[in-house]
Amino acid sequence: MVDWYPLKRWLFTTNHKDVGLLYLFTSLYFFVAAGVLALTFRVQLAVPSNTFLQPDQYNQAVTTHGLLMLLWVLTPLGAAFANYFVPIQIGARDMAFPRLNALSYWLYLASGLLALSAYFAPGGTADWGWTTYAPLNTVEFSPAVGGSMMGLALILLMASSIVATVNFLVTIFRLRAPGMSLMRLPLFTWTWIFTSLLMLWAFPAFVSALSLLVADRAFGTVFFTSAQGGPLLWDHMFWFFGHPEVYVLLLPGFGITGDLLSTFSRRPLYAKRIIIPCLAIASILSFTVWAHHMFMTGISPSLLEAFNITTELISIPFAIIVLAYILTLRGGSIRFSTPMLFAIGSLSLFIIGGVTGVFNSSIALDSAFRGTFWVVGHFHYTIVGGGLTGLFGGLYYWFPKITGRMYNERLGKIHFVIYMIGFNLLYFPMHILYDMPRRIYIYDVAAWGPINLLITIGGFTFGISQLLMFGNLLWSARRGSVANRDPWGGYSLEWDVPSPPPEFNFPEGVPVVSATGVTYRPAAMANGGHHEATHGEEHWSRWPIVVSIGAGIAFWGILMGLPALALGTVIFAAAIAGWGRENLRGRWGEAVEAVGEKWPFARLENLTLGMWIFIFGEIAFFGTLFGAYVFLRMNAPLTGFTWPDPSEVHNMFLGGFNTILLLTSGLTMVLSLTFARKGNQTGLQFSLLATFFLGAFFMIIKALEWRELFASNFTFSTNVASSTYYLLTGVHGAHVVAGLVALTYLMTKAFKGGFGPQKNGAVEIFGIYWGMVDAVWVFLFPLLYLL
Amino acid sequence: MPAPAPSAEHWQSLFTLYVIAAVIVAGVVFVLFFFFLVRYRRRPGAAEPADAPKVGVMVDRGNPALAAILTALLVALFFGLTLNTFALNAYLQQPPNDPNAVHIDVIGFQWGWRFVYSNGKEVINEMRVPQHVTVILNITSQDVFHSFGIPDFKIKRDALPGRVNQAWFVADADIGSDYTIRCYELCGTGHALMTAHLFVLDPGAFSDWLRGG
Repeated sequence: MVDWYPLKRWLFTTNHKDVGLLYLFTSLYFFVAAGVLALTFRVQLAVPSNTFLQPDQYNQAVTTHGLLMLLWVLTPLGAAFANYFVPIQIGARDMAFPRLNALSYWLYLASGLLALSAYFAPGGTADWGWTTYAPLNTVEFSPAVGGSMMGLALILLMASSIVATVNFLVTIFRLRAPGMSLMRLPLFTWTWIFTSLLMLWAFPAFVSALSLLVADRAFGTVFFTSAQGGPLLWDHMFWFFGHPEVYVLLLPGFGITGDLLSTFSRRPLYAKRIIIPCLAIASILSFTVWAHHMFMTGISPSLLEAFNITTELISIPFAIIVLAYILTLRGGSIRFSTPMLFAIGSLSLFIIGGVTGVFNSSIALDSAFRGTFWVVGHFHYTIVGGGLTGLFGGLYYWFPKITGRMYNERLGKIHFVIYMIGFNLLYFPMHILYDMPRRIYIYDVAAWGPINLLITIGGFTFGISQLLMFGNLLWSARRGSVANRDPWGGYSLEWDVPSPPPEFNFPEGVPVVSATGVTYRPAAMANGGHHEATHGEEHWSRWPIVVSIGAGIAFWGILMGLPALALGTVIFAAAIAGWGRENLRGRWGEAVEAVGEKWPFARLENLTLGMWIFIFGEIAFFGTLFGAYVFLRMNAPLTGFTWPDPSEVHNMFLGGFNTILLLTSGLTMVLSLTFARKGNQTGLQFSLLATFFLGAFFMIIKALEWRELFASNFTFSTNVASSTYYLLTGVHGAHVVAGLVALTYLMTKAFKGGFGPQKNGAVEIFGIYWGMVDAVWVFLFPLLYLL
Repeated sequence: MPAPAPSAEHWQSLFTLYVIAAVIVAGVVFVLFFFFLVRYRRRPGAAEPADAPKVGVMVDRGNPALAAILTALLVALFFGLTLNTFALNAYLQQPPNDPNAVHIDVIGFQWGWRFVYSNGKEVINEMRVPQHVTVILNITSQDVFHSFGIPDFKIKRDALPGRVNQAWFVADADIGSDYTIRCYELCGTGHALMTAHLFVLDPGAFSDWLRGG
């Protein structure tokens, strides 16, 4: 008999620790890939007038390096630790939605493979820099299909992140152990809360920008090719996402650094009650600084002065946190183990990056810095120096917990020394090159030569130093000395469980936290004697990976042709059906929850809270699209474009009728919930059926409208008004279709009598979703048909 | 070496101000940081601090007054820096009302710069300007997003299709000097080669050149 367990475990696992390890290996793989790309263009720039790379190769390498490192390395590396340790740190057995957790990972992998495959598409991949400025990002100037594929890969990745975000927030707010108040959470978990909130609002905004881009590239809309949209529309949308994204990259590593400084100095974190509000303030402010990337675009000077000030303000909460970190050390007994060295390195490099950031807030200094190596140096100090260094500290710190073995301390220290030398040789000289444009593949200025050579030497030193870490960790995972539970004297709960932690984390029972420490309540009492098999079926589902394979192939097929698109869609649909069947069979029934801390969401069920968090993300998505609409309408007269009168274009009768249909379906959905709560099965079945048919009827009329409009020469590419109409009604229609799919599941369950007065969570959360779909239409109808 | 343009001179003194502030602030922070690291290193045989981290225990400590003081100090510092920044920004944004000013339309394209003077004279990749005279640039692009920069003058402005952005400068550099104009936004495979010359001419010679063929 072949033992299929290892294969099944890694492909079908929903255990948060296994998913964490999958994230870890995958993100480190992308780290190596993106790092090697960086070395190729550093070779190209090492000396003036070099010919190692062709310009198109160079541009693709620069673009892919940036996108991979930011989105497929740094955030997922943080997610790896968050998956593995956040549930343990809050005292939970697993994430709130284990299958969705696995889905996040597999969508992440599918998106990464799609991004890499773009490299091998005819004409190469995206070559416009990670910032993807319009209109270089349009088909006219970058026709390669790989560019569109990168756009789709990004959308898929954002979907993965948004699912993960919902899951983490519900987990942290609803699954905490008894006594684990929010204030008792370790700093890493806190920074992950803010990272998740930032992702929840910034990533949907990016999805909306990418939707416009992919629509332009694949369907011929004119958002970025027209004068009404063009470069500024992309700039606003992109940087509204782009600056919060910087903090998404920084915060996980920054939080680890705080926990490490405390643990290794043997002192409690200084002013935790101030650090956490500072993180909150910084997160909010991060949505108000985006135009500092647009100081030279010539938009309103007084507006830019306001952004100058907000950018300075955002450094204040970080300055307070840095001071608190330093004061943590006072009166301590500091041990300089490798994780601590990386924490010290992370804080030092972040201070330098923070100081140069103040320069970048200056609207006047920007007339030299914009688009130069100064900027490149600055942001690498913050997100690599501050973020990645902290994450590597976390890797050493948690290595004994994950593997049960110690890494080699001497090699770890050597790695740190070479890492710091390489890092500073690599990024500090970039500040001297504040005249040299970034992303040029060649230069002939003799004076830039030696500095660039130094940077390249630093780059190789930095890159090669990582091999020491990989070698150390790989060797130690098998041969290292055995680690005990708590080699560091840490204060978070993972240090009170065996290394590596068992499948359900807490073998001694449910942790109960109090002012004096942690005790354990026998598990049988807390979870109703829940079955704890060694390799529990509970921790397997084959559908997350199949859903992701389907989604990946379908996305690929959007560009590569109908057969692939059809195949992907069929796999995707089948997997969704399989997922639903798993639910219907009750294999994933709502787990009995331990009585724990749920403040401030004690009154909501997990599913309901999850849906509300998701709706919060949807608001950002549609909000950004409405923002784009407002921008286009306001910009239209300035560019001499007269927005067509909707009454001359659209069929008011059909639009109005459709509005009534959708609003009526909202009422029938409310009825469904009422019937479900009363246990009226027939009423529930018929009201769900009515909702379904009203929604389907809405879509049919929508299709008729589109056909009519196309016939009257109002197509995707007619003008920016037509593009807006199709995009907004298109994404709304996609939401309606997704709702119809979910309704199919609800109806199946309802006709099997699966709902009862106490058991109607799925109807309730669908009601919330459907209400959102209705509400969006209430905004869309006047915007598109009346104004 | 005297600055080649007043804009560069003003920029340099603002930059110096920021550098001084940065060195002082970072210096204080690093001295404190490394002093603590050395002073509180673990000594053999020493006992752990009484409140050393223990699993599940949170010790609350800290002093909000320190955060308030730090905030006040930083606000004061930023206030000073920002006043200087806004002063230079106002200067860079607003060309002087000079009737003799030379107006040049700058059009970026993949990959080069077209300069059109007010009499219709058009040149590619070579901008000629008179010494000590205000030069006003109206910058745009005919295709993608470019960014027009004269690094030695610390002048920069994005060149966007469908939009005209203004910049201005005075060249005080020696007659016959040749400066490089560069594009500062990735604009395709020719981005690195999208440079142009800026020649500083004697005003008389400039007039002759402008009127000539």
